[in-house]
Amino acid sequence: MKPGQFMWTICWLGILIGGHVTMVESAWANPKAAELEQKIADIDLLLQQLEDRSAQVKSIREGLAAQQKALAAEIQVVLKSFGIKNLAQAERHLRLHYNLELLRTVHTYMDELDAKLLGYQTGHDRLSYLRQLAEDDIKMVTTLNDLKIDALTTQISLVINRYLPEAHTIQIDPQHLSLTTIDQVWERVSKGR
Amino acid sequence: MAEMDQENKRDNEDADFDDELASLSADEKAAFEKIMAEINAASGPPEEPAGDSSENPSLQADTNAQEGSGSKLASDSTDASSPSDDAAISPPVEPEAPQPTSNATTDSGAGNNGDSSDDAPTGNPDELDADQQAALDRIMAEINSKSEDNASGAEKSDMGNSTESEDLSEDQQAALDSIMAEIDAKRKPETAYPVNQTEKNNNGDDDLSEDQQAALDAIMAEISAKRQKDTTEEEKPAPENDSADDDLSEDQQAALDAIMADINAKKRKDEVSDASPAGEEENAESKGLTIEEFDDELSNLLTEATPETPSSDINKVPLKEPSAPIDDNTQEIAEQKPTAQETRTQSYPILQEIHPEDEKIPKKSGQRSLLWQRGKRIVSVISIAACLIISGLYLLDRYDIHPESTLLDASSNTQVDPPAEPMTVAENNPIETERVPAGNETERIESITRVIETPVELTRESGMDSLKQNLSKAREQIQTKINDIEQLKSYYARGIEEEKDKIEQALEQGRIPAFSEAITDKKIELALRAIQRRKTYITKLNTPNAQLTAMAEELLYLERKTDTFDILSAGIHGLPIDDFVQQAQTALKSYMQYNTQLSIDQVEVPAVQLASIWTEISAEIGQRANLLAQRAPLNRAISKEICQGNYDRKYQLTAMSAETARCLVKWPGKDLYLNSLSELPPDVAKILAQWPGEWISLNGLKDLPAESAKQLAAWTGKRLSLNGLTRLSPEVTAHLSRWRGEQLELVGLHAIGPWENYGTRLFLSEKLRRQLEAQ
Repeated sequence: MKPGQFMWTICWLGILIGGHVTMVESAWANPKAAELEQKIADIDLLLQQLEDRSAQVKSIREGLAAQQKALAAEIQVVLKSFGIKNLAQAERHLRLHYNLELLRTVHTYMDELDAKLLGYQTGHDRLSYLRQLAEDDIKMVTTLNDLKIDALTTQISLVINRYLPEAHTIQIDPQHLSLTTIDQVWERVSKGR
Repeated sequence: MAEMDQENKRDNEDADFDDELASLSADEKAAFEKIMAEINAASGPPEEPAGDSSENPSLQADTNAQEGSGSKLASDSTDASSPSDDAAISPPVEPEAPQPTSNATTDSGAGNNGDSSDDAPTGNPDELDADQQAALDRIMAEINSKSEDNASGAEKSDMGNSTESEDLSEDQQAALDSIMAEIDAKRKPETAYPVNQTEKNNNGDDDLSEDQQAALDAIMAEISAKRQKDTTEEEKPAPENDSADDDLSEDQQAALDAIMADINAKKRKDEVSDASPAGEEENAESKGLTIEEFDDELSNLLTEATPETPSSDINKVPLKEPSAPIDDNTQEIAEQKPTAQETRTQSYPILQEIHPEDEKIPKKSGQRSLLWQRGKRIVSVISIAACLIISGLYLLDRYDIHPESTLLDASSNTQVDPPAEPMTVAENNPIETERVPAGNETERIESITRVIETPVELTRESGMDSLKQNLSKAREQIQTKINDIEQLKSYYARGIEEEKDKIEQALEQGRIPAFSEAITDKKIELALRAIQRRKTYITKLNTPNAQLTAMAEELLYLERKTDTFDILSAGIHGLPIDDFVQQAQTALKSYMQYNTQLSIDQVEVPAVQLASIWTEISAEIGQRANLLAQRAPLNRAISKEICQGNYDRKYQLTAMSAETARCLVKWPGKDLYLNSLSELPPDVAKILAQWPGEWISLNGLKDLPAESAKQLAAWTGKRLSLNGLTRLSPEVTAHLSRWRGEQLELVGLHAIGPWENYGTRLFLSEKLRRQLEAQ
């Protein structure tokens, strides 16, 4: 190896090692930025999970909506066929009675799923908002010497904890769910005429 | 005189001998001639054929006299007669072998020996070499000279014969011994000669010299010894064969028995056929099977009998043993026996049971092969276990069989619910859940029973699907049952109408009597009672029909709820699925129980009074009569208009005659609305079916006779409306379903039977359509 080439090789190695050391030192040197970056990563993960749950809720709701549509259509046919005008008459008709019973369940869960979907959307917006704040603070921290980030991280943690249970399952407890009354169902059916 | 007497005696003996020779067979004669030729060869080679010697006996004598001493004339003359006789009785000469004559043996003597030795072919193994011939010549010369001396007295001759051997020199004795040895060697292969032949030959011993006689005796002794041996060996192989038979298998023994029976029968047959003369008997003996022939035949037969095991030593042993006595004596056989047994025991390697543990592994490769075998066993065990595990996993995956942890249990959904019972589905019993024919009620019920009573451990998803299938299946069966009940009700309703017609026909001049009067008429009474019974049946059928309808609705509700839970369970946990499953199971069980107890006996329905039935009927008849009376003028007027070509009021027709129908079919329009018609007789329907339009509407008909339906089914139009019909009899259903139009409207129907024609668009009520869809 020529002396010139050797010198160049040494120089390159020095540059590479120096760059790596600088990066490690910056991370160690700015723990607040690292903390915020970690929060951003948590937010990203939760956002993804909430999107998955939203898709799941939409899928279930579509299925229920299709069933509700079929039941409502059949109810309308029977009502017209038999000239049923009120709930009492409808209750005496077995098909109507059972269809109304089914709609109680369907409507209840559809309402719950709608609420969930709304809650997921709210959580998505809030998390996105907090993520933006965290990014702003990271820039600030890396630019300036110091910045108070405790309030932000606390808020992020609260929001994350709020939506974390929804990350894996749709949080609807059927045991504590009260079905809509048959009157409410009949009211909806009547509106649909 | 003594000589003369001796000669006469010899002549007599020669005559006897000739007779015996004549009775010999050709083979025996040939053998005899051969023996005699050998004897002659031993005493001296023949100079001339027999014919020549017989023709010139004197010449021989002269020659002998010239070469020998002159005192031989007497003996020559005496011998000259006998040779001629011998030549005469000698057997026919075979062309191949020069046949020596008996006189040559007796007369030729040493005088010819010198010439004959020169003429004798050296290449012939039967001929003597020169030294032997010279020694023999000398001996014969001495014998001849002595025989001359002996010719003077018989006693002297006898003495000379007895001392003949003593007179021979040592060289002569040695030469004679060598000759005899040669003769013996040649005689050996000819062991098959019969005994009687040798005995006959013995008769001719008197003609031989003593040396010749001695040689012949030695030969005959050998022959007799061999024959004796043969006879003893023929007797001895039997136990040997028996012992060999003992060693045979049953099949082989049977084959050997058959062969022996065959041979014995053949022998007996030969004996019977040859029983008459003694000479022939002897021939039969000579022609009988020798042991060698027996062995050959036996081996051939055994080979034929057991072709499958040609190489097996089992078959070889019994073939070998009978032939042993031919060459060996009894002792040798006895010694050979264990050897044969040894070879037999050693010659069963194929049939011997092989014990792997007995097999000795060579020491050198023993350790390695042991390790190799162990390795092979381990590998085989591992592969078998792997195969079992893989197949088990495959079966688990294939049939969705999961451990108990994946069962439907309440704890997976909620802690409040009690533990759920296993779902009753029939996914693992596809045969049981197959659609059963609608007619077979017992099978249907059993199928549902199996569905309910078979607990299957499945996942939630597959369990829900299976439950839904079971519910759907049960509902279909209920629907079928409801349809059957509706058909039954329709049948009874038609029966009621028929009875009403009978009553109407029984009325005299259309007058409707009072009940008390009508009941006196037996026909009316029976008709009323039939109507009463059928009405009761119809009423009673309403109860199970309603119950089944409620069950069908409940099952439909459960089926739909299954869908709901199926949708929700995709993302929501804690659903009360177990309660729902319990509810579904209860519904299915109740259906099954009800279906097995389906009866109208328990239904309490008060029978309709005959009086009320009569009142109803009389009112109906009266109303119809009034209607006819009211409508008759109108119908007549409209009919008249139609027949005149005015079709404007055709839709007002309430009844139509055949004549009116004939006029109506001439209408050139496309749509024929006759919705006011309340009845359609078959003859009218037949005429109406000839109308070439597209749409006939008969919505006013409340009932359609089967024959009318049959006529209508032949109509070639496109649309047919019969919306006034509420029920169809099976016959009407069958006829209408054969109609090939485009559209058939039956919106008023409450139930419908099996429909055959799916090419026609059928318009039904929404309720009935859903019922059919559910089916």
